Amino acid sequence: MKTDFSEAIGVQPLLANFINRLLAKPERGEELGLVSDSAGFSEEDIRRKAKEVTQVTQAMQVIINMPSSTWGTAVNFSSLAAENILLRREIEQIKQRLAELERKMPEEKVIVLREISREQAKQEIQQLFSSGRTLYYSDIAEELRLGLQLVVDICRELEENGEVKVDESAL
Amino acid sequence: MKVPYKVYYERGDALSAERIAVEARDIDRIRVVEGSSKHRIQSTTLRDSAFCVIELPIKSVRERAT
Repeated sequence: MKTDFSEAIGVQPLLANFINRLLAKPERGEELGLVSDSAGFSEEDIRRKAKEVTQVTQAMQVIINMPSSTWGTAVNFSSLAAENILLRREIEQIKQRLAELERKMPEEKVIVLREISREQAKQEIQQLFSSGRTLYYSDIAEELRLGLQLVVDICRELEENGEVKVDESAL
Repeated sequence: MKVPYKVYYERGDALSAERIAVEARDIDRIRVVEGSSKHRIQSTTLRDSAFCVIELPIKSVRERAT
């Protein structure tokens, strides 16, 4: 929340004043080094544009000046500043808490399961074991992107056939 | 389909192990249970097509030629 409008208030009267002077005395443009018959813009065009700018400036003044009229009585700047500091501190605490929660949250990893035949899955599991690694069902399922049930089925089959065995040292 | 391991389907059947692999269509949020013991227990519920298996470390029978 921006509570300091001193900059905007300081600029507004200058702009309006300048445009009003320009409208009141068109010859003033010459004093300022402006070309009266500028290329492409007639005097009427320039007047119209200036009027539009004045309207916008006035609208801006209404928006900015409205709260300033009540500041003197209702708004206490020091309390606003204190509130600002408190809110900033609160935001900082919320940010820290959020970061903490994000760290604690388990990362969601999307694994798209492959639809392959049982025979191909069996071959791939055999190949995986050929590296000599000790693997859990879940390791195989994740690495080969296969369903857990299929992996268990195939591993038990390989175990029965004597191709793989339980690694007693890892139990 | 006949499978070479025991599958429990009945309500109230339980698994107890150090390591269980699970999969399901939907898994509830993890709930942390602060018990009286020093162990921090976490619990969740698997829903729809849930499958759980007691994990076993498996290795190839063939020795690697190094």
